[in-house]
Order: sequence, then structure tokens, then C-alpha cells
Amino acid sequence: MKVVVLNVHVPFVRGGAELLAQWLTENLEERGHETELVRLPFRWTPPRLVIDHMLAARLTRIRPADRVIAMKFPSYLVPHENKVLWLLHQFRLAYELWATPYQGSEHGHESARVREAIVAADDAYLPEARAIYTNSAVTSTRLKRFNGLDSTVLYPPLRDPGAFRCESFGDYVFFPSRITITKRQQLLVDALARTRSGVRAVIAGAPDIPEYLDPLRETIQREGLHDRVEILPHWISEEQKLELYANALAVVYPPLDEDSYGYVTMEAFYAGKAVVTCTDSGGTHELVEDGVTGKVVAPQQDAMAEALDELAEDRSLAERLGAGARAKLDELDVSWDRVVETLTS
Amino acid sequence: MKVVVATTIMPFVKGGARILVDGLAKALADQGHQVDELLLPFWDDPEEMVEQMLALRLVDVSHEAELLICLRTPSYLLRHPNKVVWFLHHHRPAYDLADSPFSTRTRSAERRVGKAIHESDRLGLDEARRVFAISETVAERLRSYSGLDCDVLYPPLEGVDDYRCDGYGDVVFLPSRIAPVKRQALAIEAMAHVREPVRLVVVGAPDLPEHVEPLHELVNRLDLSERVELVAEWVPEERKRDLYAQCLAVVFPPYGEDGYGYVAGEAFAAAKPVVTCTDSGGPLELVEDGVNGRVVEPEPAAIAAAVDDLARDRSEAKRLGEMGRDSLQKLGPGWERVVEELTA
Repeated sequence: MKVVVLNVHVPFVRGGAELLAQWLTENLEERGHETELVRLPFRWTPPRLVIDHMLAARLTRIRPADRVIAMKFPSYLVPHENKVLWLLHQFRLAYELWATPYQGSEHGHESARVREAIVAADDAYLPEARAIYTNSAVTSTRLKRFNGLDSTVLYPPLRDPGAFRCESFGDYVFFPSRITITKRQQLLVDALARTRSGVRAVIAGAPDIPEYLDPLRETIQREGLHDRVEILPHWISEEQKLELYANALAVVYPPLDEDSYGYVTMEAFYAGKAVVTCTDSGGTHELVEDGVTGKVVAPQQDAMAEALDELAEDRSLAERLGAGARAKLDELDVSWDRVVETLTS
Repeated sequence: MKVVVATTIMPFVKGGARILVDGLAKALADQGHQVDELLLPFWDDPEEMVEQMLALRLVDVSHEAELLICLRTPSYLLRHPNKVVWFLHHHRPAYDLADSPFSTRTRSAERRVGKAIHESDRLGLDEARRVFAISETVAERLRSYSGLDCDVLYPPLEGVDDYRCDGYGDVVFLPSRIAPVKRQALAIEAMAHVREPVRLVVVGAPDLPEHVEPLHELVNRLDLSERVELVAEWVPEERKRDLYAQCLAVVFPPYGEDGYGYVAGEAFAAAKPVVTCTDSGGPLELVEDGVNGRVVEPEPAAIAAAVDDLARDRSEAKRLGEMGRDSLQKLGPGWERVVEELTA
């Protein structure tokens, strides 16, 4: 069929959502659908612009498509008789980030008005869709809580899941992610100082700002961890990433209250590796189950250290949890075949 | 400089606007500008045009870039204090096609929105700091319909050196989007009059699926299935270049085409003569009768006679085609100057 994938476009900005829309488009095409990715311009400051963009979306016509798959606010407001939603999240500033420091306060009164309009538009027009799918249980729960709407979770697969492999269970844990406060690389470095097994760590990712590297380096210096912590403070190549996954003992991913399970978790599972995460990590719990597919520990250095030692001293445990992780993916049937079939049915 | 290049697109239709946007974005980046593209969906059904125009008008890209360059109509409704328009064409059903046989679909609706289109074009174009046209033909239309004086910037032809000539065979070639206004039907009808053993190959994606069937019917009715090959889909560049390389000539008879036509430019890049019509518009800026091609009345018999002439005298076809390659000079010095003008 003729399918239009609808997303938003903030000029000069590229992020995870843009990639996912691109991959979806490619996978629809590979399965014989004539597909076009359409992106509507969006900007949210000053807040009143949000109203203009909602109205613009409402006035936009997508022809001649048999199916429209909309992914982000406000693109899902575009009317179409055959529209399904694959929601990555709603407009977060109007919902779970409202009245938090992330929202910004300089437009207080105006913001409140705009927020009302956003919620009203979501309430009125989200139900137009033939079906609503979301990227995670977290998003589905919010949709239920804020707008009283039911939805089905449809996990986004990786671009090329087949590329991930498991070669060995080496002497290091791998932590690939942007380096930033909320991802908590510091927790891993602190924990390493408390381990007794001599387990190593490889931390890879670009820091949001260079200063985020300083406390990590200070800890390494103070605790004499030079031989045991390697930091690659930049985006590593896809090849190097696959290699590091393939030979890791396990993957560590302990972010603070994440939206969704996170690509890191999914990648680790495809590489047949257990994931060590924390009780307050949020979305990762959708995939990581303590003692089945990984370890879920308190967000404290001693608890983290204990989990790392357990895995390092008992490789068969690491292997068993890694196999469990791989089995979990089969159970969930996370695949582009399924995503394409679901969104076009 | 931070530049946003905007155009409207029709989902699933691969027209010249997309090629031009990509070429321009690449040229801007090559010269050190930061550039992003906005491809805005716009479906030109008159029943739904006014709301879509309003949707464009609601988008303000002032904060995103220092310069906004708008191409296909009516993308210039976007708001920006530093807006430059490289005008491709009007919404032709509201202008030069209004009372022609090519004014299709719900004509009364077309008439109703006509005034809204005229007004919004005036608004969007008046706001622009500068307006350039892609051809003299379009510049002239802007003068007569909108009272606007503008300079011409021809879209540079991409990859001229990728086209080659393998001789002058027994096929005349018509590569173009399939749409009534491109007049594939006229070329097919001409084949019923052609005496020499020449075949016609028509290649191109249809704007709408319903544009294809009448052409097949025409081929059958005129009993031309041996002499006309109709490939109603987008073909890979390589295949297209092979067809250019091998053909005797290119037949390109659109009605009132806006630009000089990539088809005419590509034909010349492959050193092939172009047969076009006296009412074909833009191509006439490039094609001169007896110099680098043939310009004939938009009649099947006249086109057939021109094709027969070329088939009987291959050396004449070669002479005209090679002159055509020289006449590409007329398109000017290419992307560097285009970028200079648009960002000046």
C-alpha cells in the first residue's frame, strides 16, 4: 500500500526519533510498500508557536496515502481516515515535565494556556486514530493517566539487529551511552573501586559537555583505577561498538528514571549479554528482570560492586543471564516484520 | 550562513522540485553554508487547497535560519524576514491553464479557489526580498500575472558529463512524468504518421495512476503496440542514460512547460536533437528549429514529419545534436553563481 510516515522536523536538529522514522520508512519499502517520509516543521519556543503548529498540522492534508503512520506531536494531529499512531512520547513539556525544571518558567501564564490547548487537542484528536501504539509501557501508562486512552506497546527494533553477536564473556563490563549526569557513569566508576574481582569497565560515548568527564577522571586517579577503567569519550564506530558488545562480560546501564528501555538494553540483549541496571532506572525494567535477563540493584556503589563481582566470579551466571536476555527478545517478538505488519494492518 | 531551503512536494510524486532542492542544498553546503531542507506536503486538489495554504502560512521559520529560500508554489507563504524565492511555476490551473483543455478535475472548484491563490501568491511574493525565475517563460508569466520583475536563474543541469552518445539509432525517446500537460498522447499519435522504421519509447512515473490507461488505449486504438513502448514508472538513472545514448532524437512536446526542461538539457548533454512544439514554453529557450532540433506545430503529422526527416538523414540528426551540446552554455555558469545570487 501507499504509506506516509509522519514525523516532525526541527530544522538543523537530528535525534533518535528522526532515525527511527527513517528506519521505519526503509523497512516499509523493503516489504513492498510505496513509502514516503513526510516531516512537518515544529518549534516550541515561544510557547504560542505550539498553537500555530497544532493548527497547521490540523490543516495539512496527506494525499494520496492508503495509510498514515504518525509518530510525534503535533504531526499526529493531521487528519486522515486511515491513520495509526506509533507514539514515541507526547509533548512532554505539557505532561510529565510540566512544573519541573525542564519546562522553563519564563513564560508562566502563557505556558499554562498553551498547555491546556495541547491537552485539549490530544484529548480531541488522538482518538481519531484507528489504533495507537507506543514505544514503551512508560508511554502507554502516561497516555492512560493523562488522557484516559488505551494503547498497545510496539517495541522499536534496532536498525540491524542481525549485526549484534556474542563471541566471549571477557573481563570487562561495557557501558555505551552519552556521558551525562542522568546516565550515571559515575556510579559504575565508584562501584569499580569497591570490587574485589578485578573486573574492568569500558565506558564509551560523547560527553554532553566536556566537564562531565572531570569527576570520572578524578575518581579513577584517586582510586588508582587506570588499569581497570577505559573511557572512550566520543562516538565510537559501529564496528568497534559491535566488537565491544560481543566480548563483554555484561553491559551496565543504570540511568536515572529513563523513558523507555533504551537502545543500550536492546543492543545488549541482541548481543546475548546480561544488563546490570538500577531499581530507579525506569524503562529498563520492561526488559531487565533480576536473575533472569540481568541484575537490578539499588543505585548504590556497594550494591553495584556486588553485582559486578558476582558476574566476574561466575562466568556461567553471566552466560545464563545473557541467554535469558536473548530469549526475552524472542518472547517479545521485537522485529521489523512485526512492526510493519502491525502498523499496516 | 544558516539557510533553510523550502519547497512543497506531492507525496509519492518525484518531480523536478525535489531534484532542484537537493541540488541547491548540496551546492549551498559545498560553499560552506549550513543548510537544511523543508519538504512540505501539498496536494493540489482545489477542494482542499485553501486550508493547506493556511497551514503553510502558520509556519514561521524566522528563528531557524538567517535566510529562507523558497521554491515550488506556494512554499513562499512560510514566514521569514529574509525570504528569497526561486520561482518554479504558478499553480497553473489557476493561471495559464485556467481556460485550456488541461484544466482538469472539478473546474468550478478550481475557479472558486483561483482568487485565493492569486491573492496568496501576491502576499507571499511581495514579502520576498528577491524573486528569481527558473526561465524567461516563467519570468514573463510573473510579469503578466503578478506584475513582478525578476531575473532568470536557470537550474544547472546535473551530471552533464554522465550522458554519452552511442550513435543515432531507430528509437525516439520521451522521458518525462506522465501527465496530460506533458502530452505523451501527442507523441503517440504522431507515431501513426511516421513512415520510417522508428519506434517511440515513453518512460516516466505517472502523476496519478489514471493517467496511464488512456495512453495504453490510444496505443491499441492506433494499432501501435509494435512501435510504441510505454514504461509507466520511474526508471533508474543508468537505464535512462542508456536510452538517451542510443536514441535517434528526443521528442519533448509539453504544453507551456515552465522551465527549459531537464529532458531537453539531458538530450543535449547526450548530443541528441530535440523535437518540441511551438507552444511548448520553456524548451523554446534552448531549442531552435534547424539549429539544435526541430520546433513544429503541436500536430501529430508535423511531429511525424520532423521525426521522419531525422530518420532519413542521420548526419543531420548528429549535426543538430552536437549543436545542442554546445547550446548548454546558455544555461550559464552553474551552481556557484546560483548560490551567489540567492544568498547575496
